[in-house]
Amino acid sequence: MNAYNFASKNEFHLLKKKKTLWAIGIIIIIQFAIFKYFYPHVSYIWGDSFSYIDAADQNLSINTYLTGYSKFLRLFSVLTKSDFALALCQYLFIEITALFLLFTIFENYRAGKITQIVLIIIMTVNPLFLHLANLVSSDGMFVGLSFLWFSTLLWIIQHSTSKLIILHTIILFISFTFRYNALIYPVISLSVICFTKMPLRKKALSICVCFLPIALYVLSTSYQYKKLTGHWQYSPFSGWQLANNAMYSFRYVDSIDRKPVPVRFKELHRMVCEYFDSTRNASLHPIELFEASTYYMWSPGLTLMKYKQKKFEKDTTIAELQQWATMGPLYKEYGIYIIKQYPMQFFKHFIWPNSKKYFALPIEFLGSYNSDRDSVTEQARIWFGYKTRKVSVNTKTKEVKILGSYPIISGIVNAVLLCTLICFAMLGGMKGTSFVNRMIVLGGIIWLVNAIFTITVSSAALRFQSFPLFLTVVLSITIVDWMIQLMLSHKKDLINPTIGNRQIYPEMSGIGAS
Amino acid sequence: MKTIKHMLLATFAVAVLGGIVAFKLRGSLVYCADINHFGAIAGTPDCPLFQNSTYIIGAPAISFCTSVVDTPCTGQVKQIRAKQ
Repeated sequence: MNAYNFASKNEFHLLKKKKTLWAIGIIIIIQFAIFKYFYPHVSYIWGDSFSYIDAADQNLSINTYLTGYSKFLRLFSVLTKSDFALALCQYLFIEITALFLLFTIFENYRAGKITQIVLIIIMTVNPLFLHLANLVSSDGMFVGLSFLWFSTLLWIIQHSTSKLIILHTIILFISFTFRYNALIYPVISLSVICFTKMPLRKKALSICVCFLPIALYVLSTSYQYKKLTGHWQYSPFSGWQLANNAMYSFRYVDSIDRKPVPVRFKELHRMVCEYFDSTRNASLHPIELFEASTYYMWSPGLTLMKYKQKKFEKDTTIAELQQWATMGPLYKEYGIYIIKQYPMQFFKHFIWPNSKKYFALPIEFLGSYNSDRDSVTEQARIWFGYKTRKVSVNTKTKEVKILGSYPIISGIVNAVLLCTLICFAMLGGMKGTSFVNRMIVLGGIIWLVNAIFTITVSSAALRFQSFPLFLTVVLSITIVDWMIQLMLSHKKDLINPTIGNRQIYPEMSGIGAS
Repeated sequence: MKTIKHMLLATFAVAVLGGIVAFKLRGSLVYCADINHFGAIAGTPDCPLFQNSTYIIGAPAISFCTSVVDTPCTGQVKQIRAKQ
């Protein structure tokens, strides 16, 4: 009897009970109705949201942000202009995919009844999903796609069928076009496929099928940037991000410790040094008090933007996207150069503060409705068919207080996951070959890889770290459940020594010795 | 069995500790600023906000801007809460 068969006969699979599904459906609808009473319009991130709408409006295939979400907005606009429908669609997508992840777990692992109830409540009664769904940003859809991506990976571990591989390929590809956070997904998918029990030929074919669309997408995007800027590059964004990260560390390099730079960086470096020399007084320049943020890459008055303007001041015909993308390769090289020259400062003033941010995720733009403004751009008004540019809320302030506890929750679950993973390893869980053991190992790897990626090259915020946050919650609770079950099985062994641990919990094979 | 019990207790302790650390770490930067009619920081050097501003990191917003004299600031004195 394998783990899958064992679990499928499980009587405690709450998501297979009609009553549970009805209750979840009613709760979801009531929550959304109440939420929409308070927030009748969708919320916008001033900058990002309008960029997505602009790309959707112009049907751009390259933009400052990845265009997957813009394509979705464009496709959705064929059906309806309603922003209410968009929020509802995004919310249902997040909820259904979150529940699918739980269904996958409960189908393959006999989680305790209380564990199942707790996980279902966490995924259903959750204000973060409502606020993400109400945001015109790729974040909400990306959370849902990530839930699907992880769920299909778990199914592939159990049954590596061709249909599953194709489904996973589609989800992986769509995720890849939505956010740069998905850059780590293909590597993880590849590793999982490599470790499945498929024949070598099928394995090789699966890997090709999985990666062909992504390779073509990367090639096509890079070619379009080559045409636009003359440089082969997949993401100018990464160049800006690296230069931004480098500047957060270079700010703390004493002027006497500054090293000379290659000629190609001289002008830029001079401007960076001048900027830092003139902004030492933090009371005059409060932005300088922030650590490991993104101000240097987005603020028009700061060096990276100023240098870009200077480069193109003689030619005003060049479009903004072209100017921005052209700077990508130089900023990438400059960022890497500075980080290599001052690794200690980079660790102290970028990696360390970013680690703290990753631990207690900042609420960032989710902290206030519509970036604390009461209107939208004309393009957004037309896109959603509003009568005026005004957007309003039925709450006292635009501040979203309900999400205020999320940084603390994030800290708690990150600490708990680290602790439970250590316990899991100490109890021999890593050696187990059952579904739950593999799921925990895979989830732990995703958590670790995502943390390394986010802390070293990206920035951390609640809206785009929602998937890792919920993965952490699910893993932590599952490991605790696994430990409790292990403890109870040992107790039963002591009461009735004739019943072995393996007979009671065959899915725990590999940990019986502990 | 005892070991697992201890591990579960340790997990609970770590959860409490993680919560306390996260509570201390969550932060926002609060400061008073001279905002011009475009909504940007005006940056008048004579404005007292640029000489005696109070900055609070890691604390909830408190209304402290009202005590600051708003002349010769060119714009409107406003409390800015910038989230980290």
